[in-house]
Amino acid sequence: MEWLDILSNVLHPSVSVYLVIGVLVGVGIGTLPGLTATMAVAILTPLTFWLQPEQGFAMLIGVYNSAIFAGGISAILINTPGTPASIATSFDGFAMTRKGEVGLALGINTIYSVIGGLFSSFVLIIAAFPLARFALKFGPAEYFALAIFGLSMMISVSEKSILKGLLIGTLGLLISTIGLDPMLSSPRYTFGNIHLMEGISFIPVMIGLFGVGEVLHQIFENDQKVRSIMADNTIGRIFPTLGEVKRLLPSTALSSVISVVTGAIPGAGGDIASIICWDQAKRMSKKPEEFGEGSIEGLANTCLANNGVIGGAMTTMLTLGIPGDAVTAVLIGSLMMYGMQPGPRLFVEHADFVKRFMLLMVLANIVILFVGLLGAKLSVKILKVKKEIIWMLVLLLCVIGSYALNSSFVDVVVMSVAGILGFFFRKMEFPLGPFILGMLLGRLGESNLRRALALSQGSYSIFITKPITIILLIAAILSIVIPLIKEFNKKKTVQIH
Amino acid sequence: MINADIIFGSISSLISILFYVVSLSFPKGTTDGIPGPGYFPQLMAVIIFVLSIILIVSGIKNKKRYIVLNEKTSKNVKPLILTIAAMGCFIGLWEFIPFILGAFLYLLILNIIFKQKLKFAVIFAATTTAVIYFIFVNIFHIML
Repeated sequence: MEWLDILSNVLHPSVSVYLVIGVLVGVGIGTLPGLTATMAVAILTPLTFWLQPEQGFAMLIGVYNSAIFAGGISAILINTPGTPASIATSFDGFAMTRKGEVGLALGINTIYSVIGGLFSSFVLIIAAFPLARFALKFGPAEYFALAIFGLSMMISVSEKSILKGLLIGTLGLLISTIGLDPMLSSPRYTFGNIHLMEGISFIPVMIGLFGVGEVLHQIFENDQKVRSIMADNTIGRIFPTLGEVKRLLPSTALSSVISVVTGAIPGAGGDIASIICWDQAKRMSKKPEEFGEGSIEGLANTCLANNGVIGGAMTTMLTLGIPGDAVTAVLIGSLMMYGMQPGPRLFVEHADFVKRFMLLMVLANIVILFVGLLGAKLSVKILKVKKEIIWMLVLLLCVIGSYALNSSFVDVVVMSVAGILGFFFRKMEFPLGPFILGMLLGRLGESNLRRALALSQGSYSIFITKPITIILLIAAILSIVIPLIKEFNKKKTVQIH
Repeated sequence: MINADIIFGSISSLISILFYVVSLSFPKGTTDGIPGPGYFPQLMAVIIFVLSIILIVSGIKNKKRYIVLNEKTSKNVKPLILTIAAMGCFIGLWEFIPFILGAFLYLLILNIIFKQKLKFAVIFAATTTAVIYFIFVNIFHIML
């Protein structure tokens, strides 16, 4: 199918209505602090199982893009980022609110999030197919090296402790071995239980970790104090002036490129991109002293970066099957639920779906533009929803969502165990990212390692004689070593001081 | 009080030993060096064991407390435990009582745990259960 046919297909009400629903749900979830885009996609994934893939993904793409954009709303209004990607948005966004420029801050958040999202979506459309064609040359050795490269990201997504990241990531890898062996189909760690033959289902684990785990964490950390919501709903002008737009042009153009590239690097998400872009905008600005005090340049660049990373992350996820962050990791699980394995073969076997996916990314941003601008005043009111109501809804939906996927009671048990573990992991500063990477990439790595060794008749030289494998393995080694050196230097500096 | 890192490290090391021992019964690899089903899990189990020991050692050195009960959080322990217990009861009774009744009671109990007004609690629990039941049973055709 050609692009125009696909465009008319995704514009059809049977698909676009799900996109609009997804965007609205994402705005609600993203605005509420503590509810992340990852949680939203994880919970909604089993609920979309009964839809056609394009309908289900219309909803998920809508939720993902809009939740990231809406994370900026609470950052602007109450100085609390709705999602981790909006941390830098609060630097100038909340300062603008205090100056009485709420409407302008919300308008800039919407407009520049959409610009970032659209730019990165076009990069996805342009770059993904050539990259996938290149990746089609991959054999088992290259796939194994790719899995190792993906797994090396455990270090960079380890947050506070590399040791804990590695430990929990390897636990994820070990759990991925439960079920039938990928080569010989002999059962491993099933203990005669038929439900374990297919392994531990990924989706209930995700729902538990990000849904129940997060709610339990919030209950424990709950501050009884009432949130400081604005007393009146007057927000002032929404649109920036032409002069302001011209002033923003050079720095935002550069931020567009930076954020897409950052997004394409596995392990580097919107939080990192927005801080980098905020910093580069400050360096370029004629008024750097305004940064952190309500600068529209600072705000625009961080908002642009949040959504600008999505297209980059999607490019890596779709073409190579490597998750760029937690949300794309969940989206890989969502694709698998529909029987599609992300990677270069997806572009051959489901080329039409990939094109729909890309156009849905573009359309999601257009819908966000209208929802964001028209609903700027309404978004202030979303923050008045009681957190207890959200907790109860999430807790119930997590149970039903995990059951609904396979009508399996075992999945509900897995989800609840994962939820309780998710709480303790958060409390004990165990990052969840490496665990997901381990569960996702374990089978890919193991099966291709053994296939490659079968081809080379047991010789490990197969991994150091192919150029792509060598490049990927060197990249993996670098992404392990560089953060370790940084960590070492940091500790050394602390010791000196 | 035992450090949480030591507890987690001990549990994960025991898990690694269990997985390693069980993997010894898996079919062996071929004579020309192609690894069998036990190779990968054994490798992972060894790595986990080593990392767990390092975690235990760092736990002995650091003695960091992760779950700190202060003025704010001490009040939240009770609702946290009750929420987990309510979820456990809901899931435990899943196969014994109809979903619609279980979900209603679950939401009602959660409302009480979160100190919502009784009138609101009943209306919220009944409405939410009805809407969710309708969506899943009539639209998604799932037998709840």
